[in-house]
Parts: sequence; structure tokens; C-alpha cells
Amino acid sequence: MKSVNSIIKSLKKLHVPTSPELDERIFREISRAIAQAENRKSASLQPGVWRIIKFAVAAVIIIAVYLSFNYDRSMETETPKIVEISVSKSPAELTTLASLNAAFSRGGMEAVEKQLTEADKKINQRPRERITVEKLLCELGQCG
Amino acid sequence: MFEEKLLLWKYNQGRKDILWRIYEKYKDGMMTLAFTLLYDKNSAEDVVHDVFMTIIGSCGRLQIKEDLKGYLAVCVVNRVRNRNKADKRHQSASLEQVVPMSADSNRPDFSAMFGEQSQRLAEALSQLPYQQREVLFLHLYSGLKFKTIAGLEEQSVNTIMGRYRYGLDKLRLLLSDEAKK
Repeated sequence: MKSVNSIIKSLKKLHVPTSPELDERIFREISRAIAQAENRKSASLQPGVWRIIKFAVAAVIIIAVYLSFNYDRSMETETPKIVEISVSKSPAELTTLASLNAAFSRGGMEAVEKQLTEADKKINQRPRERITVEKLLCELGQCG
Repeated sequence: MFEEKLLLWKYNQGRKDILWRIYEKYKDGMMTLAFTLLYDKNSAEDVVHDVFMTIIGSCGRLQIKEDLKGYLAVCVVNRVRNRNKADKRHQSASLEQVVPMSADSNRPDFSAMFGEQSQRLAEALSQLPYQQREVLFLHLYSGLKFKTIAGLEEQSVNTIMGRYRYGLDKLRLLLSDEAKK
């Protein structure tokens, strides 16, 4: 007589396979279900995507308008004005060689004479006689 | 064990890509259970097909709390019962009556289904009443507890355990008689 345990083991080993036709039928149904799920997913995403795009465009437009409005105002208020500042130089500064060279390059001998006259005025010394620049240069040893 | 839990979790999440794996893993078990209850290959395949169509359609909508194997076994048994009821309505017979299947071992599909080694066991099983066969397979093959089977069949646990004991005893007797022959 067979023992109960061996009968139980044999029962658990029983195996009836499915036919290939059934497998194919089921796999076809599974593929269809997956495809339907994918379609539903993409369809539900589309309205959401368009909404996001609309919001993004609206946000860009608002930001652009805000920036352009503020940008014009800021240009008006923050543009630095060119202010002419006159810097008065001392007589010593006016008579330095660099200053005289700069004056010469601006306006030649007349400009140099003018600068020296200005320096003289500041010192408030009247020359006994009118000395030209050429004489002055000669006195300084620059005569050629 | 871990794979079963993972498959169940993914199924409950509505992941339809996991259905391939569920079918591959459980199809033979479902087919064996359906065939040993119906002893008809085409009917058994129809039952397995119907059960799996329900599983596919319910993916994402149904939350299976117990294990997947047990759930599928219960689905198969319910389908088999519905089929039997429909057949009985046509034949005007009662479900409580002993319904042993004719064990014609010369039928090619019968021996081909089970193979030579299991043929004697299959023949003996076919001699058992349907209710004893159902309890034996739900407990031993699908791993359902007696309490769960009792709830499924709307019977007491003692009744279910009784059916199980009587089924095993009868099987032992049939197989020993067969051996003596």
C-alpha cells in the first residue's frame, strides 16, 4: 500500500502543460492590453503637455513685458550724464615740460604761449618786458 | 518566494508588462488544476483563458492581498464550478451527487496529458468525487489553507478536512488495488 506522503508527493508532481495555441492567444491579449495602456497613457499626457506649453509661453511674454518696461525706465534714470569738470591747475603744473608739450601738441606755439600767460597771471607777476617762448627756450638752452 | 511577492506588487501597481511573466509562471499550474477537475482538455483551456482574460482586464483596478498563486487557483475553481453548474442545468443533475469521471486510460489525450508515470494516479483521481478532488488539489497543489478553502466553499473547516482525509484514503486504496492488479 502506498504511503500518504508518497501520494502527496505524486500529486504535487502532476503537470499538465498548456497548448502552444492557448499560449499564443493569451500573449496576443496581453500585447493588446499593453498597447491599449500605452495609447491611453500618451493620450492623457497630450492635453497636459499643451497646458504646460501655454503656461510657459504666457510666462515668457509676461517676463519680457516686465523686463522691457523696467529696462526703459532704468535706462532713463541710470544713464550717467557727462559732466564737464574744469580742473584748475597750479602755475607750477602749467609750466612743467609735460604740460607744455601737451599744450604744443594741442595748438602749437600759440597754445604754449597762452598756457604760460595763464600761469603768469596766477602768479601775479608782471613781466618787465614781453618775453616770447622762443627767447625763453633760448634762455633755457633749447636754442638750436 | 521573492519573485512571487514582486509579481504581486507589480500587478497591484497596474504594470501590464508583468502579465507575461505571471502567465509563464502560473499557466501550467492553472491548467493542471482545471484539467484534474474537468478531465477535458478543451474545457480546461477555456477556463484558463477566461481566468487570464479577467486577470488582464483587472490589472490596476484589482488589489490582490493574498498570494497570486492561491488567487488564480480560486479563480480556476470558481470558473470550473460555474461550468459544471451550467452543464448540470442542461443535464438536470445535482452538484452534491458523486461525479466520478470515467477513467478511460486508453483515451490518447488522457495518457498524453499526464505521462505514463502519473497515469495511474490520474486514473485514481478521476474516481474520486469532485468535492474531494477539489479540496485535495486546492490544498496540496495550490497551497491554500483549509480555512481559506472552507470560506470559498462555504463549509466548516472540519468538513473540508474530512473531505481531504477521505480523498487521500480513497486514493491510497485505489492505488493499492491497482498495484495488486
